[in-house]
This record gives sequence, C-alpha cells and structure tokens, in this order.
Amino acid sequence: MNGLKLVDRRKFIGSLIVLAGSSGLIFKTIKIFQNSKKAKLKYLGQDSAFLHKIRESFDYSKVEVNTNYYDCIVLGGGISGLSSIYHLEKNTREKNKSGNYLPAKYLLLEAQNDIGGNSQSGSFKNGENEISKYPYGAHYLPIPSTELSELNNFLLKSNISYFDPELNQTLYNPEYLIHSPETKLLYLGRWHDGLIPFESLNQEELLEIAKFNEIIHKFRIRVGSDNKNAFSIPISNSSRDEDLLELDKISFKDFLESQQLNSKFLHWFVNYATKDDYGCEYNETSAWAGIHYFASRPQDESSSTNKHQPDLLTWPEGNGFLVKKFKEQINSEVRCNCLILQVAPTDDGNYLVYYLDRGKNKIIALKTKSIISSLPHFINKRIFSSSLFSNNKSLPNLETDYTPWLVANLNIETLPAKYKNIPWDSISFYSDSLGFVRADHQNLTPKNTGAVLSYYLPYSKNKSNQIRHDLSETSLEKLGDTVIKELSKFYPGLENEVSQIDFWIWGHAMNKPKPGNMRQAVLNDVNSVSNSLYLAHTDYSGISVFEEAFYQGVRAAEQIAF
Amino acid sequence: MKLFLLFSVFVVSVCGLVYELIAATIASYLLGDSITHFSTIIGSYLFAMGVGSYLAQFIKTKVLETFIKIELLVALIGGSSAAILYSLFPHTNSLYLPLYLMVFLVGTGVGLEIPLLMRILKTEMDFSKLVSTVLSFDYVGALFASVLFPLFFIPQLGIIKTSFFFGIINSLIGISILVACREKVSNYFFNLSSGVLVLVLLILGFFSSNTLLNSFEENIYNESIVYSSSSPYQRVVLSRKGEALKLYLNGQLQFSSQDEYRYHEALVHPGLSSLKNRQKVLILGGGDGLAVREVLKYPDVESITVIDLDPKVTELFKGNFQLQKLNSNSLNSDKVRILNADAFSWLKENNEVFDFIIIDLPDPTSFSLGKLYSNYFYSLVKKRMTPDSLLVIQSTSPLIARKSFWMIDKTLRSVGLNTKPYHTYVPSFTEWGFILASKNSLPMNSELPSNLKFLDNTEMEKMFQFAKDMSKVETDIQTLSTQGLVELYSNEWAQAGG
Repeated sequence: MNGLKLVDRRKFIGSLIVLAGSSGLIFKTIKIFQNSKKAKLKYLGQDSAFLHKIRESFDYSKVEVNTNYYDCIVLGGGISGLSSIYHLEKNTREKNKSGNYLPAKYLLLEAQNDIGGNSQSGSFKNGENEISKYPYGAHYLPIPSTELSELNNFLLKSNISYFDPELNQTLYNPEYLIHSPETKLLYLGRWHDGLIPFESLNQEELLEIAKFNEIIHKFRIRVGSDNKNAFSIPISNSSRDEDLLELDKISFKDFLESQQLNSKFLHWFVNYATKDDYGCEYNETSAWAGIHYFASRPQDESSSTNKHQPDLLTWPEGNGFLVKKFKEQINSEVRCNCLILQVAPTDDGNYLVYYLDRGKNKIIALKTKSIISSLPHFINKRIFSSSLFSNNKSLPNLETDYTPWLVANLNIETLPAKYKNIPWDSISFYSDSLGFVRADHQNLTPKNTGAVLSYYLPYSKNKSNQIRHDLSETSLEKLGDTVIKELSKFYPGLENEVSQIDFWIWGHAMNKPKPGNMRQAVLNDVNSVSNSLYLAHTDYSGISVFEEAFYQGVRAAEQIAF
Repeated sequence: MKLFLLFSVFVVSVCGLVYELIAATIASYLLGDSITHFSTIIGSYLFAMGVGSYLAQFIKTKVLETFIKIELLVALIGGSSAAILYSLFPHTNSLYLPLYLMVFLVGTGVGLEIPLLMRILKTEMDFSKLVSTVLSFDYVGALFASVLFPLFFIPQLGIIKTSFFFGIINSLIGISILVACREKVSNYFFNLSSGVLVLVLLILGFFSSNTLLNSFEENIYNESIVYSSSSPYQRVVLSRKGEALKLYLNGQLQFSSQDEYRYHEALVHPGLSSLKNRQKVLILGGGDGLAVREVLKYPDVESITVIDLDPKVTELFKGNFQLQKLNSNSLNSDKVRILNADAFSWLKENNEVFDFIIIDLPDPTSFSLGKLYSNYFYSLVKKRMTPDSLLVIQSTSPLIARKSFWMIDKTLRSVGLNTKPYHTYVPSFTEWGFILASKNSLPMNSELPSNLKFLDNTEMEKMFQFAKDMSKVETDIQTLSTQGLVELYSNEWAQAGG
C-alpha cells in the first residue's frame, strides 16, 4: 500500500492535537512566569554583631593612648551630636572672631558606618542612575516656631529658608515644603483626604473631635504663672505649673476618658499620633507628652500671615537631607565605625575615650579636654566608668523602654495608571503600621513610571525586649511577606509591581515617654554629669524629635567655650 | 519516519508563511502603505522560494544533513526577524534592505526544503502520491498559519514573541529529524550542538523580548504600534494609522503627523517672528524636533538648546529616517544642542539667558507633571529671560479645559510676567491654547517666514480673539503645595469625555 495508512493519519491528527496542546501549555507557563515577579529583599539595617561588642569587657590598661589631643570629642553622630559639633565650631569662631579658621580641635565619633542616627537615608539605584533617595527613619520636620532661633538660623544657612525683604518674612524654599497631595486615610473601605475622614464620621464622632480640638487649643494658648508657654519645644522651656505637670501622672488614654472623650475614631486618631511621633501606644504615653504633640507646635490659627504656607518640610531622603546639610557645614573630623567602649577620667583633669575601630578591629584611646555624649541613656550607662562620678554627680535616674521600629523601602518599578496619584502619606485605620510614605513625592523630575514607598512599623504593642529577640530570629522573607501583604491591603495589585525591598530595623529607635518621664524632663535643666562632660541626647529631654535633639546640641555646645 | 518527515513539511510550511506574514505586517507598521508592502513581500517571498527550488538541484550529496542545516538557519533568521527589524527601526536610515534581505533568505530556505524533502522521501513513496501528499501538507500548513496568525498568535503573543515562537517550533523539528536520523548524518554532534544553540538563542529571545509590545497596547490605541519602549521616565509609543504617524507619551497623544504643522506653527511663529533679537532659543520638552524645525526657519537664530528628559525620544527622532523626514532632520542641525536633563534641575543649575523660550511639555495629567506648571517652575524660567525675551507655553485646550488654561495664565502672571494668550484649531487635539509671556510689554509686529503651511497674518490676528465660551475666568494659581491645576484639568477633560 502506498501513501498514508489510516493509522498514520490518526497519528498525524493526534500529533496535531499534541502540538496545539503543548503550545497552549508553553503559553500558560510563560504567563505565570511573567506574573510572579519576586521582589529582591535586602537588609541594610544596623550591624548588630559589631554594635553588641559593647557588651564585652576589655582590658584597657594595655591600650596605648594616641598622641592627638582634642578640645572636645562628641560621642554619637545623631542629630544632637551633629548639632553639638556644628555649634561648637560656630561658637568658637564667633568667640575668637577667627573667620573660617577653627582655633580648637574637635572630633565626632560614630559607631555606625554613617552619621545621622534616626535620620539616616539611602537610595535605590538602577546601575549608576539614582531612582530616588529614601529615608531609613525620620522623614519630615514641622516648620519650627520662631523661638527656635538656632534651628531657624541653620535652616537659613542651609538655604532651606530665606528672608524676603519685601514681605519682611522668612519664607521656605517651595521645593522643600510638603507638596500636594499630602495625606489620605483608608477608612470604611475608601480613601479620604486628610487624616480625619469628616464625611464618613457620625455626628457624635465629629462633636468629640471638635471638643478635643477645643481642649488642645486651650493648652496651646495657655501661658503658665512662670510666663512660659504650657507646652513648648524645647521641653525644658515648658511651664512648670503644677497642674500641668500633674498631667504626667496619667496616660493619654486616661486623660481622654477623664474628659468624657470615648469615640472609637478619636481614640484611634490620638493613638496614631503618639505612635507616629513617639513609637508609643497612647495608653502607655504620658498625657503630658500626648498633649505636647498637639499643643506645642504653631498651627495655622496662630500664623495668619501666609495661609498657603504648608506646615512641614520634607525631602525624598527625609531628614537625611538635613544630615547632608550638617555634613556640608561641619569642618571637624567625623569618624564612623568607631564603637565607644569606655569613657574614663585621667589624673590631670582630662578624659580618655576608648573605642573599637571596626576596620582595624583594634581598640584606640584618645585624650580630650571635654566630652559631649549624644548617645542614648542605655549606652551611657555602659560606657561611663564609675570613677567619672565624684562630687555627688551621676547619670540621671531614668527608666527606659526603647521601641523597635521596622522601616522598609519598596521600589515600585511601574505605577499602574490608577495609582499614579498616590499621596505623600497613605494611612489605614485598620493597620498597626503608620502606613506608606511616598519617598519620591518631593522629586521635581516627573518619574511617572515608578514610585518609592517607605513603610513604617513601630513595634509599640508588645514588650520591646521580646520583639528585639523575635526580630533577630525572623527571616527577611517573612518580613517581606508582611510588608507585601500590607501593601496589598492599601493598594490592591500594587504588590505585584514591587521589585526590591530594603529593610532597616531599629532595635532601640526611641525611648517611650511614659507617665513619670516628662516631669523630670521639664525640670531637668542641668545636663552636666561631671566637669566638662555633657549629655545631649533626647532621652534626657523626654521626646525623640528633631527639634529637641537639635536644641540639646545647642545647649551642650554653649557650655563649652574655647 | 516517513510520517514524521511529512509532518515536518507541514511545520516548515506553517513557519515559512508565518515569517512572511510577520515581515509584511512589520513593513506596514513601520513603513506604512500596507498594500504595497504586502504585495511586494509576498511576491519576493514566492520568487525567493522559486530560487530555492531551482538551487535544490545542485545539492547532490548529504541531502538530509543539508535539509537540517537549512531548517535551523530558517528558524534562526525567521524566528528573530521581528525582533531585529524592530530594534533596527530607531537607528537605521532605511529598513528596506534588512527587510527584503530577510524575506529573501527565508524564502530561499523554504524553497530549498520542499524539493530536498521530496528527494528524501522518494525511496519510501510512489512518486505521484509523493508529490500530491507533500504539496497538500504544504497547503494545509499555509491555511493553518494564515488563519491562526491574525486570530490567535498576534493577539496573544504580539508580533515579536510570535516570531520567536515559530522559530522555536521550527528549530525543534530540525533537531527532532536530526536525532531520529542520527545514523544517516555525518557530523552528528556538530549539527546537534548548533541546533541546540539556535534553540537556546530563540528561547532566550522569546523570554527577553519586550513583552509590552503586544496586542494589549494595540487594542488601546487601535493603531499599529511602530515603536514602543519604556524609559525610566515614561512609556513612549509611536503608532501608525493609515499614513498618519502618532506619538504617545504615557498614553497621551503628543502629535499626529497629519496636522502637527498647525500646532507647531502656532506654537513657534507668533512669538519668534515678533522678536528683533532671536539668536538664542531654548526649548523645554519638544524632543520630537518639530518645534525645532519651525525655529530653524529663521536664519538669524544661532543656537537652539533642547532640554528633553528622555534620550529615548530624542534618539528616536534623530535617528529614524521617517521621523527625520517629518522634522526636516532638525535635530541633526549644527545649531541644535540636545541635553537629556530634567527641566527643573537644568533651570536651577544654569545661568544662561535666552531670547526665546518654548515650553512644550505634556499636559498636567499627574501631580508630578503638575509641578512643571507651578509658580515655582515659572519663577525659575523667568531667571533665564532678559527684559526683551519672550516665552511661549503650550497650555492645553481653552475650550475643553477653560479654567485650567486661565489658571496657567494666572500662574504666569503671579510671578511677574505679562501674558498674551492665544489659540488655534488642531483637528487631532481640538481647539488648542498657548500663552506668550514676557517681563516687559509684548510686541506684536510680526513678519512671518514665507514657507509656512498654515499661518498667515489674517489667521494670526484671529488667534488672539477669544470667543465667549473660552474667555477669561478667575482661578487660583498653581503651586507645589496646592496643585489645584491637576484636579481641575482632570475634571474638565473628564466632563468632556476625554
């Protein structure tokens, strides 16, 4: 028989079906392959192995003392440390009328590989090109009141603000004032403009908000019998009237209840505020500190001159921008990767600072005339040798509880059209986190295809020690899943567009301003623990905010003059 | 064995026809004029097949091995043809040569294959049966391809992936025949490894080819996509409908080649023709070179600086011959300096001043684009102007987005500029608006260049009159911290159904 047999024909048709089927299958796999883009996960946070060497004990007697002698060594390169050395230089030049020449030798030591403390920042890169800068922590600065003259001077010097002679007024560079759209809240299944969803609240909830604003307003305008504002930045400028200090005895939650303020939304709103600024739940926050958050900063009602001027400054890299401005203006040496181990007095009235050099893995000893420690209290307790404290002086007796924070920066390669206008700050009523801040929001260049979102999660609900322990055992994949899941609740579908997540964990982000802490902070105006040894950390002034840290640096530098 | 070889006739026929359809489709996408390209490509393909069939007689030995080699070669060229033609598009001065070369090579290959196969099969079948069976497989394959190509493959995979897909099928058949007949083939391992290499290359191509260039976008635009790419800044799409070329940035129409002269003459000439000193011109945006083409009509213009964010756009309009024809090759003029920078940073970092500044940026469709319409942006532009300089801004439609148009005007005046708004009709866009601005009063005694297609003095006089439905309305100003324009713009266009 010639030609095709019947069987062959069947086989032929069969193979056609197989071909069609397999191309369909190949096609399917391609689709799946394309949709399951996995985000790259990166941990950038602190090197805890190095930082934990502070727990080990070393024999300092054999360490040879370096021949360099310093007029002052600043310990810690967070905002209060940077402000300290910045003002040390400034005061010394002004006092000696020396122009640009600095007639004293200062040094700043920082344990991490970069300065900035909670205000550090990084960036996403595509090869050489920077996609956007982003913050590892603090990311905005409220417009400071005119009373904070040094901070205002710094902003002027850094070209963040300028004086307009025509208006006889200080104005801010429009580039750095928060751009529109600012904040949106996810509440009852939809997004609302602003942090309070007026159109979705009932009469009772609206009344409570009005009543709360009324109470805050009274505190804001109150001047104490000592002629000081009731709530002020710096904290130590606040009034010492006893009825105000009494507020430090109860929690912010108790305070609300004592005012018959019970609506669920108001309680959420207030709790969001204390978590945002202090990393602390409102039932753990001192009522004094909680009211301070709302009543200490000038609001639109008092600044009538320019209605359009928004009330905060922010940058793609957050307060990392301010750190950059410090870097540009500080002339003294700044040494990173130097873990302070011990501070001890010498017989001739000076100090020795021992630190572990990370690169050389070697202990170095430096001699200095004076010291400003801008390190947190729990570090100071470890490094200050007991021989420092003669003459009845000692470290303040401070109860500390530091909240750990997770900050994750998400690189979104392509922003779907429906999400192209996501605002600066996206907040959800239903999330434990503070939400997602759009880091590229202030960029002037239109980068329409993507976005960078910073996710902030303070672990304020549970015991901090337990959280630190748990976090050290949590895999990056698990953290990634948490963040991705959160994002899908905020903006469904956007989780598929995430190409990279950079994680930063702050083990001891900020000390909780619990009831009892603030009275001490208001009354504490001595920050010297020994001759020529000063403390400049916000742990000693109650709340961890930029303006306070900046002021602590100003105050410490004022007391050292060369 | 026999059946397998007959099946391969079918596949070869399907693949060959698909390559031909791909070539014809791409030609009509990229070069326009689909009737001419379809007919010349089919003609050249058939001719090349004839050449192949003729050449087949000269292959005397190693028939099977040669057949496999040709199969692999056709798979490689045909499979990668779409990707190669698309990637050549922005750079080459003529696509005709690579296009017809590919058609000819593939056609010759396929033409060689059928006679070779018949010779391989002749020992197994009666001759007359052989001829009719082979030819019927060939024709069934052609039907299969011509039906599935437009109905299934193009909509599902897009043209580049379809081309790689058939290349992969084609090379798989080649490799399978090779493996099945390994005893009869010399150099088995060499042939096998080159087969696998071809297969791997095509698979890589399949996965790395631009997945975005697919039917999805074509459905949105309802036009043939000529070029599309995603830069870090935007999605650039060039499309063709009939003879008209259109450029889209992030889905927003930038011009249609059929009436862009109306837009660009109106953008450039009212301002530039009225200037006495016009040596230095600055264009923010406008990487398509069309405004530059109009500016070059003034011989006394000495330098034109184009600031466009996106190198993909400027390279496309510099390098492609059809776009060079459209912009009169303006971007390659000695007077033109192109800087791929963002307008904001460039303005902040520069001290140069210009006699004439053109702002030809996309509409404020998003908050990030809205920043380029803010008072802060205009205050930076103002610093690049002398007291006599003129500035012109494309300012959306005063008819459809009336408040938006007047908001741009008010924002310009808020930074201390005098303005003179005007408008004209551009069919692709609707009534379109522009605003002239200057630190001093605006002079209006123009002498237009003679070689314009649209604008004359009568037309220009009309442009400055605003009918009742477009006349001035009170608005806020656009600032970075309020961005009222973006919302206004989107509401106004939404109401118009745009």
